[in-house]
Amino acid sequence: MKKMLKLQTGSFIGEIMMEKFFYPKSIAVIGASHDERKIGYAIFKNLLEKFKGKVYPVNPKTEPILGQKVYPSVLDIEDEIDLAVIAVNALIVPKVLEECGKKGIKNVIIISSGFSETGSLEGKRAEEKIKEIAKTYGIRVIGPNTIGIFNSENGLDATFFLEKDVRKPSKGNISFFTQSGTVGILSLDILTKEGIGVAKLVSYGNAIDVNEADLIEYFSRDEKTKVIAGFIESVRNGKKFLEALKKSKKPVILLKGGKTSFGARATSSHTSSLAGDYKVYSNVFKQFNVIEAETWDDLIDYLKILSIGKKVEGKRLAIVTNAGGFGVLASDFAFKLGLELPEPSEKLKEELKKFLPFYASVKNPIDITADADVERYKNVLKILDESDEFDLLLIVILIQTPMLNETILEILENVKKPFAVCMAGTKAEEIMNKLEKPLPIYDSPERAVKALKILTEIKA
Amino acid sequence: MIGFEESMELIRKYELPVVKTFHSLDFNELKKAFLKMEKPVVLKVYSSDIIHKTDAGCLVSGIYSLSQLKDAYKKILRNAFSFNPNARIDAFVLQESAKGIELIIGAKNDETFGKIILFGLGGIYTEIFEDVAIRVLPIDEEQADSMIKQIKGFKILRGYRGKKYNLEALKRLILKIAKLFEEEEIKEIDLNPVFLDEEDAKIADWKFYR
Repeated sequence: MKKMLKLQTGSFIGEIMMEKFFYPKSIAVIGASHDERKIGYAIFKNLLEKFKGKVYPVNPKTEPILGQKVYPSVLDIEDEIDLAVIAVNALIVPKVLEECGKKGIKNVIIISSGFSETGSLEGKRAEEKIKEIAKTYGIRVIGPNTIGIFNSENGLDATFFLEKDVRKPSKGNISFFTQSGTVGILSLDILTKEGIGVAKLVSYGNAIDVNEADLIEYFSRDEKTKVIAGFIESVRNGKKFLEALKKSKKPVILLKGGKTSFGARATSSHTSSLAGDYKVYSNVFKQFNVIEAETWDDLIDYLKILSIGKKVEGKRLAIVTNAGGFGVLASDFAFKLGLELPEPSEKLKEELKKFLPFYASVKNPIDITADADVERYKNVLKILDESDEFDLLLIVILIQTPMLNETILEILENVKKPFAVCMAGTKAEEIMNKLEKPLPIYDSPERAVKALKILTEIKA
Repeated sequence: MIGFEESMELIRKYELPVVKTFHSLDFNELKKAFLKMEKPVVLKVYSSDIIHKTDAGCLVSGIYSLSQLKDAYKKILRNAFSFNPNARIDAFVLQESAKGIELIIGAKNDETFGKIILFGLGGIYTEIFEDVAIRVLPIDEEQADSMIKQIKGFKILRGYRGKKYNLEALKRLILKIAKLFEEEEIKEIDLNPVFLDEEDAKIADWKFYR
């Protein structure tokens, strides 16, 4: 018996068993509540309505919840349980975690807060205690202090936010891990708003076991994930984190919180004062090919274009516009970011001219003029899409002209080259809200250019 | 900070290029060496108790004559002991003046990622612009190269108005420091300034901490 315990302890930090967090057959919600305003109610409701598997509510008060039989303890469930979600008062967490151990549950998400994040000694002690229990039983833990996890593939929505309050994304290829719960839940909502699908999301909170390195590792192996995104404040295990980044063949995009340095400046050497915390992080990101999003807006903007998953061959950008001003702003910013704006060859110019009025400009930006209709966009884009003179396309659309309407979006869906669209204003927003497929549409020339630039930074 | 003799051993072992340097505690020895050196020279103190020599008034540059050398010696001695009456002086260091752009190369143990190396513009620019590139060790030639190209000051380093800098020499030096820091039991390295010109990269001031 002792030998077996030791073996399980060893696997605590191992790589195995991550899969069960996302693909369990059965889930117990410990602290499933009868009270609609409680976290334990929302989690159970989300899972009951959407999860393609069995869900068991656990609560000492055994009146049914949402018509389901309630179990006083996980030990009373006859069926095997793959995953437990704990949403009880912090003081009771050790007891129910221990019961999970006895039941043989190997994957537990602890939603409850009231641990080390409080900064109190009691909180730290309580966290140590649950760590010990998890170790003893060989349980892998996500949390505590998290908003839960989400898997679009099988309806595993173990977050405590209901659909009426937070929109949840459809299936997609982005997997997101976040230290912060706020960032987690808002990213679900905002990515949905932007039409971006999500594969999996994990809010890992205090990370007593599963941390950023485990998640990067898991997502790089996960077939549904094509882009790995994360919000981190600090890294628990630097060496493991770097190993995971080195091994990942997928683009990793990170937003770092806590950029301002409160490290001691009064250190004796220059090296120490120069190598401040954030400086080291941002350089590590460069060294290990991580795309760094500097702001929340950047993160969402970049994810929008990355989720489309087009490969970029070079930096030669063609700007097509029906609006002179935005064309100029786009080319200024593209130049500033180091993108190339070559002039089309004479041959290509001739081809373009066939579909353009004599007063249009076929340099770069290619100004197809304000009277351009959908057909003109279609013809010009087709030529550029087939040309080998450009790697990227930026399409500026002043959608407000009487010549244009939303049918232009159908043309965009057929563009093969990596592209971004700049379309702004109220009318643009109305059209975007009707979008069925995600398109990389941005409301300013600079945002669109920045998104294209990020594509060029991905190392194949 | 390790002793002067020990620092010289490391410099020899890793064939680190340094500005022409002579050291002694004895003024007569310094005088003899001075006569053979290219002027002007710099006189400074090497002491674990005086890390920032300029701030403590323990570095005098632009020395052309013997009388200037003598004055500098006295001044440094006086300032050293007024800065720290218990300062233990390892050596007086006499150096030929170096030309070129001032750079910094450093290394330390980062508490999250382990051994890191740092490179950037040196001198006063170090603190004003904090224009540095950092890498986790080990690094290869390509990484060393990318460090040099990453800093904003690369626009200066790649040459302008006929001015040229030996970037190959700089890259070799970065790689040597990376190797040293990986192999030796050193906690932190601070090379500032390192002078880079068309000919070579040369370390003018070095601090190795254990």
